[in-house]
Order: sequence, then structure tokens, then C-alpha cells
Amino acid sequence: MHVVLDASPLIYLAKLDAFDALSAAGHTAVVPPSVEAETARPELAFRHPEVAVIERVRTEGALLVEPLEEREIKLAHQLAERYGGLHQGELDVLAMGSLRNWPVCLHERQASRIARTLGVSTIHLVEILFAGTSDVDLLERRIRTFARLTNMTMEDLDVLLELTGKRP
Amino acid sequence: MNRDHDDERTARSQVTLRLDRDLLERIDNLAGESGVDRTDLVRRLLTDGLAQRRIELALDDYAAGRRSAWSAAQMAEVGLYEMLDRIAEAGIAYRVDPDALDRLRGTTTPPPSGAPPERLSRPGKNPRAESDIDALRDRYRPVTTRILFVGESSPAGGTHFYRSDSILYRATRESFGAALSVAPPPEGEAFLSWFQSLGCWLLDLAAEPANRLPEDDRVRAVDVGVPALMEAIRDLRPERIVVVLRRVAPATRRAASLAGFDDRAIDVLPFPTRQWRPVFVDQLAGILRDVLGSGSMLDDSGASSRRSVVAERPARYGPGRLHDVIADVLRRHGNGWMRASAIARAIAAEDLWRRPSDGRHPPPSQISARVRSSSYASLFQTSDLGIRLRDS
Repeated sequence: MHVVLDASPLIYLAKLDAFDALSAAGHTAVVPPSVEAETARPELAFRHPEVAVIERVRTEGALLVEPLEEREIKLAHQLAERYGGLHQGELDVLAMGSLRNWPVCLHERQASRIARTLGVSTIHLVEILFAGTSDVDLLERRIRTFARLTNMTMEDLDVLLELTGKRP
Repeated sequence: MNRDHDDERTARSQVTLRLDRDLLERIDNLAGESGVDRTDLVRRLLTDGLAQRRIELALDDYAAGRRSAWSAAQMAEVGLYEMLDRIAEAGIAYRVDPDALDRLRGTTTPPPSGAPPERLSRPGKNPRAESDIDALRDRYRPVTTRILFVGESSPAGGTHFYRSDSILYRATRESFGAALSVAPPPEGEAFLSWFQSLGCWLLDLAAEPANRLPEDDRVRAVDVGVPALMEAIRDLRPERIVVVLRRVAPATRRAASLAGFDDRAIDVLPFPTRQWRPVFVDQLAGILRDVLGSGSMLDDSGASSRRSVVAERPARYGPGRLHDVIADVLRRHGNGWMRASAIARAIAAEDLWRRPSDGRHPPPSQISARVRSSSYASLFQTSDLGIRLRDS
């Protein structure tokens, strides 16, 4: 199943070195060109090694960059008029997910709410990690790292750790 | 040459600005030190200040849920990578989409990615949760309680500090090992006996697991425990109370106040999950050295002597000593509770200290890290109310 990734989840997947979770969960990761342009900027590779990870995954074919169709470009522009606070790249993700009927992976709750308003299925990064990481210890490490990177609330982290089965 | 000069004049507008003499003098001093003229320096300062302000506004918007991280990056004119780092540095909390959590719990329809594995179902209340905790607690009660640890309740998941299998147990054990230079520290019953022999005891405010109760019920469960804690404090007369979960700090203070306990001897630590674990371990280690420093266990390890030089130890960075500057700010504010952000603002407003690494004023996170450092446990008191000097 295809999943359209927004830039932030893509960066976090790279930071977690967890792209294997996507394929293990049965997903094919797709991004619009705007997401690729933001996340794979060679000039940032020294400071943010995740750039190189994303580039490697793309060249290996595990990350597909799909151009937007004309109707998707049009929808993305319409969404820009209706929903402030989102970057054009995120609107591209929503438009692609909406018209191709693919779930989208977004970072912020607000963006996910907008997706659901549009009838677009959402899948969170932690769901991908859970579904695609069979080693419980590795899953726990990934969840903890993701929590640290994002300043996740303790309540949410506790719930996730509990769900890993590793929460003491 | 003249043409370049003319181009420059065309591209720039002249403005007149009234500045305080003191500020102007500081600008001139810095310009002299940097080997640039005043105008160049002011241009650079304005450029840097503008960029910084743009980032602050974008962070405000992100924190308020008005923008996504990517949109905030665009507003701040930085890349998304940098904005994600800035968001983390600013300590803005991240909430997972609750629908995603529900799906993982299996309480709603799974996403198209497929159902979560069976093992991920959230367990219900564990019958083990509080069954034998009172007996274990009594078993490890010290003869004299020097440090009373106060928690909320037994976790609903069935683990507990006195079962040697909880997050709190592991972090506390690590902290004792660090404070007393014992590596590795004893485990299980041996650790609990050690904990007991050092005069340490853990009490919970709520009689039953509270961490899965609705918020109102959770608060009530803790409040119900206040009279019992008051009696315990009155009875035990500990030297120090260490609250291991910020949310129970107000109830603990009430009990301590009713028992006539000096609130300067109450420390409030963050619960040691995720990034708070090293903070908890380091801060508790400092408290242990501070309280138990004169005890027999520390004399052998040398930790006591480490404590005695804390105040004189030069800072690892900075032209001055940040902790001295923080202490000075607190004194000048009457040593009432001050938030790290307020201390950071005071330091920046008066330009009291800058980081040698980048010349910037210390952010609140650096203030917080410094006062929580084990090296300064005897100097600063931290709680959910803020920071103050332990001895005014």
C-alpha cells in the first residue's frame, strides 16, 4: 500500500534509521517533489546526515518521488486558500493522498485533522514503527528516540511504551 | 570605486535612531573589539536580531498550533531541519495524534496499513498493581528516615519501585550508583536494602494506582493522601523530601506545611521518563551527596570531598560562572521562586552572561540544566514553582 509522506515524518524516519519499518509494514513510501526538495538538500548533508540517508533510500528505490498531476496541483492551490498554517508541500501531500486515495503520514495533529476533514486516511509515524518493527527492544529504542527528538509528552510516551509491552 | 560607493548608497536608506548612551558605548566597545566600525556592527546586530525575532515568532505560532513546523520554517526563513531542531531546543511539547494512539490501542478502526499486532493491546488494570506493596514498603522502612521520597501511586501496570522493576527504580538505582561511586550498583533486593540502610524510604500519596484515572479522579486520589503524608512527615522528620513526580508537588507541600516541615528542604524532580531520565539521575545524585555527604558511605568514595568543592569549582565554560550569575539574579529578586525563562530574560536584559561558544545569552534550557546539575544541589532548589537559592 502506498503512503504519502510529509517532510517531517520523512526526516524523523531518517533520524531513526527506520526506513525498514515502512517495507516491513507493507508500505511503499511516496513523496511529492516539494517534500523531496526540502528534505534532500545536498548543502545540508554535512550538518544533517539524514539528508544522505534520504538520498540513499531514494536511490535504492525505497522512496518514490511522484510528480503531482494537474488536478492535484489545482487541489493543492484550492487547499491553500482554505487552510492557513500549512506549507505548500504539506498541501501537496494532502492533495496527492486525497485524489489517489492513499493514506498520508503527517507530523502535527492539526494537519491530521485537516486530512480527516478532507476524507483522507492518516497514518502516524509511530503506527509505522509499531507495524514494521518486530524486535520489541528495537521498537522501544525507536519510540524513545522519537520521543526525545520531538519532546513528546510523558503521557503519550508512557502510552506508547506500554503498548510496546516494554513499559515496566 | 565611486560607482560601488554610489550603488551602496542607493541600496541603503539612512535612518536616524536615538539610543541610550550606555547602549551606544557598549556597541562602540564591541565594535572596537571586533575590529569593525559602529555602522557595520549595528547593521549586523539588526540583521541577526531580525532573524532571531522571526524565529521566535514562528516558534510562538508553532507552539500555539497556528502553524505546522514546515510552515513555521518558511515564516522564519530557515530550513525544516533547522526548525525541527529549534522546536526541540525550545522545549515545545509534542502530542501524538490521539486517533493514532487509539488505533494502536485497538479501540478504533485500524488504518489502511493493517491492524496492530495482538500483543499491542493495552492491558487493563493489573491485579498485581498494589496487592503486596504495603508489605514490601514496611519491609524496607529504615530505622531513621533521612530522605523521604514521595511518589504518586503504584503504577497501574503492576510494577513498583519496591518490586525493583519500575522506571523509578532503575533511575534511582543509577543515581545512587553515580552519587556513591558504586559501579555497578547492587540490584533488586540488595539495592533496596542499601536504599533502606542509607535512610531512604519511598511513600506514595495515593493508596491505589492513579495514573490511569481521569484527571479529576487522579487529583482527588492524591489529595486524599495528604493527611497520611502529613502524619508520616511529622513522625519521620526526614532531613529532605524528594518529590519524584512534579504533579504531586503541591499536595506534598501542603502535607509538609501542615507537618511544620521547612519547604526549603523539599526538592521536586521530573519523573525519569525519556529525556528526563539523565536530568533526574544527575539531580538526585547531587541531592544524595548533599544530604548523605557526611555519612559513612560517602567518605570512602570521595564523593563527599567532591561536594565540598562544588561552589568553588570553576565553570566548564563561559568567562564568568553561570551559576554565580543565576544566584545573583535570584538574590536581586528577593530569592522568590523564579522560572528559568524569567532568569534567562533577566540575564539577557542586563547582558550579565554570554556563551563563549556563540556569544548568545543562555536560553532557559541552559539555566534549567545548570541549576539541576548535581554539582549545584546544595546551591539551588528546584520545583514545579521554579528555581530559588536553597539558603537565602
